[in-house]
Amino acid sequence: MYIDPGQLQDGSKLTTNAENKLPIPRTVDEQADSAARKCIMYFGPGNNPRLSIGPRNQVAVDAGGKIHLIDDLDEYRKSVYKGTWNAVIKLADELREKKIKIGFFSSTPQGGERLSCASVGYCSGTPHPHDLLCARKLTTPFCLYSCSVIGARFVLHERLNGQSRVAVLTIHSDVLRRCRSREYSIFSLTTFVGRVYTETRLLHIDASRAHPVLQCARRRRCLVSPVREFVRNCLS
Amino acid sequence: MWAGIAGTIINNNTAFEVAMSIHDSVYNTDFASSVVPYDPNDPVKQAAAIEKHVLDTLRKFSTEHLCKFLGAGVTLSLLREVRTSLSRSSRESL
Repeated sequence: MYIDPGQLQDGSKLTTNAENKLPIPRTVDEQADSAARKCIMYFGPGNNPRLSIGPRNQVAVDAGGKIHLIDDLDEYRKSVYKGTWNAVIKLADELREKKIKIGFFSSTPQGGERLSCASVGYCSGTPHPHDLLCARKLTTPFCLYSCSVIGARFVLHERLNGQSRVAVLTIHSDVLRRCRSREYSIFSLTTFVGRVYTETRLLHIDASRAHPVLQCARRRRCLVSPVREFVRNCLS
Repeated sequence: MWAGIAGTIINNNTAFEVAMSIHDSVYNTDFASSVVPYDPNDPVKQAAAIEKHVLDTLRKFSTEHLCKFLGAGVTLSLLREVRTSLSRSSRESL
C-alpha cells in the first residue's frame, strides 16, 4: 500500500524543484526492510549494541537514545526482590540529590553492563555521564598492563575537568578468584586501587567475595563501602 | 535474527497495515504484511491490539523456524501508535 506523500511533505522546507520529488513514497514492506537493516547497523560484531561517541566525547551506549532496552522502570522492579529494589532506588535518589556523577569502569569496549546500567539510570533519572576520556599518563601504562595481565574488568576513566570524581568499581568475581589462587599478583591490585584512590573518591565496590580488594583498599585507607553492606543497611 | 517492523494507517483511518521483515544480518530472509482493524477513538485498546499482533507474529516465526530475535527496528509511524507497550512486551518475547 502506498503511503500518501501528502502526509509526509512539508512544502515550506523544500525548494521548488524538490517539492514534487521528495520524499519518495514507499511501501510499508520496504520501510520494514529498511528498519531491519538500520537495526543491524547498530549492532557490533559480537551481537552487542555498538558504542558510539557522542558530543563532547561522551560515550553513548545507546547511540544517543536510539537503542532501547527496556523503557519502563516497572519492568526492572518486577525482576528483583523488593528489598534490592528499595536499595537501588534509595541509592539513585541520593545520587540524584547530591548530583554525584558516576564513572563506569569496564575494560571491554562492548560495555554490555554499561548499557543495562544506563537504562536503569536513565529511567530513574540519575545523572550518569560515561565519558570516553584518555586516561592520564600515570595510569595508562598501568591500566593497559593490568588489563593484559590481570585481564580484569577495570580501566580507569576520569573527568578531565576535575569535577566530582566518584568511582563505582566493578570487579569481576573471576578476577578475585584468580587473585586468591595467586594466579595474578595481589600487589598489582593494591597498587591499582591506590592509584584509583588518589584520583577519585572510591565510593562503592561491587564484587562477590570482595575480600582481597577490601583489604587492598583499607590498606590504602580508601573510603570503601561494598554494595552488599550498603544494601544490608538499606534493608535493615 | 533481526526484525524490522513498520506500520501505517490505511483506508482512511479504518485499518492499520503492519509489515515485518526478518533479516539475518546478511540477507532479508522473510517478510510479511498484514492488516489490523483500526479504531482511532480508543488509542489504548488499539495499541494493545497492534502490539499483540506484532508479538504473536514474531513468536510464531520464532517457534516455527527455530530462531531467536536479537533486536528489532521499529519505524516512527508504528511507534506513534504503540508508544510505551512495545519495549515492555519485547522483554517477554525476545
